[in-house]
Amino acid sequence: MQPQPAIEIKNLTVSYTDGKTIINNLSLTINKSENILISGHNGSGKTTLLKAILGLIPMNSGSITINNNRKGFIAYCGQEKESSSFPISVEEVLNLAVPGDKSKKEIEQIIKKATESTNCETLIKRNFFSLSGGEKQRVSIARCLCQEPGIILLDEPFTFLDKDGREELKTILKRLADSEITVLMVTHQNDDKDDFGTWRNISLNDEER
Amino acid sequence: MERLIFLFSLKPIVFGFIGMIISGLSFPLAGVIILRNDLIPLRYMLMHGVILGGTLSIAFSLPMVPVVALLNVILVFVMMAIKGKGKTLSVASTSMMVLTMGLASLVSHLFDVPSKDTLELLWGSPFALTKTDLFMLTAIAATLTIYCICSFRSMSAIFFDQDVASSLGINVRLHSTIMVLVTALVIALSMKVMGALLMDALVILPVLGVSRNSSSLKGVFIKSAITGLVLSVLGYLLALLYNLPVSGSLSILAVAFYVLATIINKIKRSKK
Repeated sequence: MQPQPAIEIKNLTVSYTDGKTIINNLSLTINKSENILISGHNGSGKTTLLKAILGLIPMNSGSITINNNRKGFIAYCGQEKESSSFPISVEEVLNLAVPGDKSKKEIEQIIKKATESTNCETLIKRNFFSLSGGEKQRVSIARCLCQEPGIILLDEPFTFLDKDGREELKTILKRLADSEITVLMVTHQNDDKDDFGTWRNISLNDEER
Repeated sequence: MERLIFLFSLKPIVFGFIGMIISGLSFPLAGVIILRNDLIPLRYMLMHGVILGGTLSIAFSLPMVPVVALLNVILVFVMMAIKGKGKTLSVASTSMMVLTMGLASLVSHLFDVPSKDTLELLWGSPFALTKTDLFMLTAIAATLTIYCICSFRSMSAIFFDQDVASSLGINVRLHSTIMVLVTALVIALSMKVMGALLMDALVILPVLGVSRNSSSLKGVFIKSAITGLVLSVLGYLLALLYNLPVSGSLSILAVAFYVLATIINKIKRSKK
């Protein structure tokens, strides 16, 4: 059966306001259920690419086509942000991602399923900003799952994680890769490539493209 | 007690009490928005807007609250336009502060507005509330509360991460503008009730104290509103009983609450 494209990027060019081109004429087709590892050194445009796919930044030229325009079809797990002194519970973080048309019972089921698959059932009542780096990443992936997405974009999820945190997250991501969701993960750490050998590898470094 | 019963037979005291209940219950909600969205510079700009609004209303014999509220809304739009040109919130609000103070100074000079009358706005008084003020106060309090309840999910997402909120299809720009506008109106009115210099007592301090001992955003909203209500009622009654300025007694209570919340938080942390 012919693979169906989930994301089609054609001749994408994105520049900063100072005129520096960060992504130059990139064309890429990502199929449904495909798992992609996007690598590249700092400043190669990895995060910019994810934000362009999300429609958060303007493109200079080219096009990005997503084969589903449902709200929340693309879930985004950004780089870890600074902790806030303002609390928000894990339950609230997960709740905000669940599609708005769900009943209370359905919401509970979606959250239960997402927390079980990311091993964060016990964190539900905790303040998100009081969690460790690994716990935050697991909750962030659970949040993505609560969105019932077709595509998940992960931006350097291993940053700031200790060895145990990395291993646990890798197990969760491999499980995620076996699902029907299309996963795009950005990383600048080469050692991650070995752990995701079955994923399609795309480099944004000019010399490797 | 007899003194209190007598005082509550007077219309300005009753109007002031109603005003304190409404603002105590609802203004801390704006405090959550101000603190979570880092709108402190905006809050200072709006204080200057109140001075210009007050000067204009005295100069042209116009009702103060509507003029101040309208002016603050205009200032917010001008500031957002400046911010949209790539300037930071601090730069945008500072330039507006300078402009408003310059205009206030000019209007004062040209129309012989006594500076003392204008500066009294900074102190405010719940006893000076009129029926129109109370109506406006109720309207903005209701707007703020209804917005917080109906848009809680969108607000949570924006507070959590604006990129995540956008990916969920939430109109971040629209909600941010609504939040700033509602905050502007709350600041304009709270200055009339309590005065600009002591407004922090009711808008900011309850939220700061509560957020130290909560683990959820909903908890912060609810507990801040309850704390604001208790502080404003207690502060008002204390002021009446001991013949103190309301803003002074309320501020002392709010600071005491904040210190207590900080101590409780430290004890909790040391036990972990």
